[in-house]
Amino acid sequence: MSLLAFQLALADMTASHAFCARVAADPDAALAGYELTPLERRRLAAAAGQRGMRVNCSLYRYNRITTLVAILPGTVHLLGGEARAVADEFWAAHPPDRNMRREAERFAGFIRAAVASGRLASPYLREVVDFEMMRYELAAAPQPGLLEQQVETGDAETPFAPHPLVRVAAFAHDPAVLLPHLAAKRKPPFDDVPEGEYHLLLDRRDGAYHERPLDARLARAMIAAAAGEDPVAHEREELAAAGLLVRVGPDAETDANGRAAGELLAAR
Amino acid sequence: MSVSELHLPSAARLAGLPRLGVGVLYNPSLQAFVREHAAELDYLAIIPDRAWSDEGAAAPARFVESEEQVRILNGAAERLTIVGHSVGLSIGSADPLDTGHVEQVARWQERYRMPWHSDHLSFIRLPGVDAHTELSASMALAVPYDREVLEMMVERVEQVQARIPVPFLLENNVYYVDLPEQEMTEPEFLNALAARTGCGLLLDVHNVVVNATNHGFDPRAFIFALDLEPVVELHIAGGSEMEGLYTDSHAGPVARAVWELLPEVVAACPNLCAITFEFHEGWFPMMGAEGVLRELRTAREVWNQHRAS
Repeated sequence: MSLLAFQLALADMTASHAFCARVAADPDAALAGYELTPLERRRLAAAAGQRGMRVNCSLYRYNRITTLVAILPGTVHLLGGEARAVADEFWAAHPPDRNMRREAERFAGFIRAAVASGRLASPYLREVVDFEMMRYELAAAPQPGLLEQQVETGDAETPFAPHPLVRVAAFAHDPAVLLPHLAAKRKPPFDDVPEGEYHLLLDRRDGAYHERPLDARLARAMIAAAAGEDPVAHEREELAAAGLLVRVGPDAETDANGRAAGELLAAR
Repeated sequence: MSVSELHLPSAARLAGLPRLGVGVLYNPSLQAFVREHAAELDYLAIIPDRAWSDEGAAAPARFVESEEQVRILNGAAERLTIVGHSVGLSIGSADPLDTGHVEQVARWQERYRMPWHSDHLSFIRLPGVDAHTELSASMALAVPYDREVLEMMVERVEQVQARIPVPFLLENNVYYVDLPEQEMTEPEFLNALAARTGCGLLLDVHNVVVNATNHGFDPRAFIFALDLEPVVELHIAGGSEMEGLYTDSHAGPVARAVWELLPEVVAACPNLCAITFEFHEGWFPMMGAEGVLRELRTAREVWNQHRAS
């Protein structure tokens, strides 16, 4: 247990300048929660005050923010000057997950909660974080058999669901104007971004990743189908004819956590 | 490979490995480079862990491979020998060995017929709060060089070697914090580990330079305190300053201090098979293909001078 406790304590110090300072000031008190030998306690106390520990803390932060910037670049950009404080708040509550997707999902959930509570005020954050998570899941995240998925055709009783290789992202601001601003790293507020109801179809059915605007009427039908509701007949037929809605059989492809594509979309 | 073969002297086990030459550690910025300049590479080193997502031991499918990455690597493997350099084993973690990771590496070794594979002499994995959580220290941290840790490592290296039928190399650490009262130096620790298990070593020359710069020792003395017979692969890289220390950031071209050491090191490692240039992908736009080729050609001059025969 002792070596494990030593590693946990060293990792906790690496994650926090403040904890290092407490260990440096009063090692016995700061490390009281770890089952350490006297030698291990001496080692950690010696490490706490070293310049190298500051480097460890900086590398820890660099490595964690790199994951978030890679998956959620627009989201992090929109946080602007608050990014550091928001990341610190998130990291204090969520230790680093080895899995990049889960780390990003947790950060996305944290951002959604902060927007809902009013802690973060950017009007674009919620739609951008949702869009970027969908894009990552579809375009970049390793998924089993993603491009070889054969949609099982269920019988007439099987409800329609979105094709596993498409997602619909909803926006309250025109993504055709908003997303280029973010890609160019321009600072908000953006005076020229129209407000309204917009949707992007994220599509990887042919293997390559594409985005294109989707008519609001059809987008609402897709979102309804993802939630297990039956879209009205006209939209359903139109979407089915385009291959965007399919009758997914009982053995439908799932992601690594056993979630079907419909669940992924409906979970937004 | 039988258990008895595992305990043959390192030299005997490693002498039969192919002398590959000079290669690069693949990162996503090199996709076109590898296609266009395969003739300049004797092999391609890869980080297999970057081509899959580890969903954790409790997931229905733990290792979810990126079809895109696999397709790229399959294309490279048609023309080049692939050498694996993992980052996810965390052999120094004081919890049970991650046998699932070892199994996944074994599958990849078989898929690409890697002549050897390597990982780091450090820990990064931490026990999670439940079966669905796998925590990370977010950076590789050095283990203390104590006999207790050596015993743990010996057992684990033997477990890895019993499962994967090619030599397993461990890479010397980079570390920024000095832990006092360690029972062994890093060379003593590595020598003992290699002698007891027959494992090979991946000597990261830049890691030595980083540690020597930050902790005030002679990098040459460190290298020549090592038993160099088990050294199969060298890593060469560059670094940068942070908080007043010199870091192993893989910032662009190879550091001058590494080039200065390299000829003597290459000449002194009897079983050396490969020199791998590694750099952070963010540097590719600054270096360009010509910049990468320049580093590879310089390394090749050293290789040709000391090893080609």
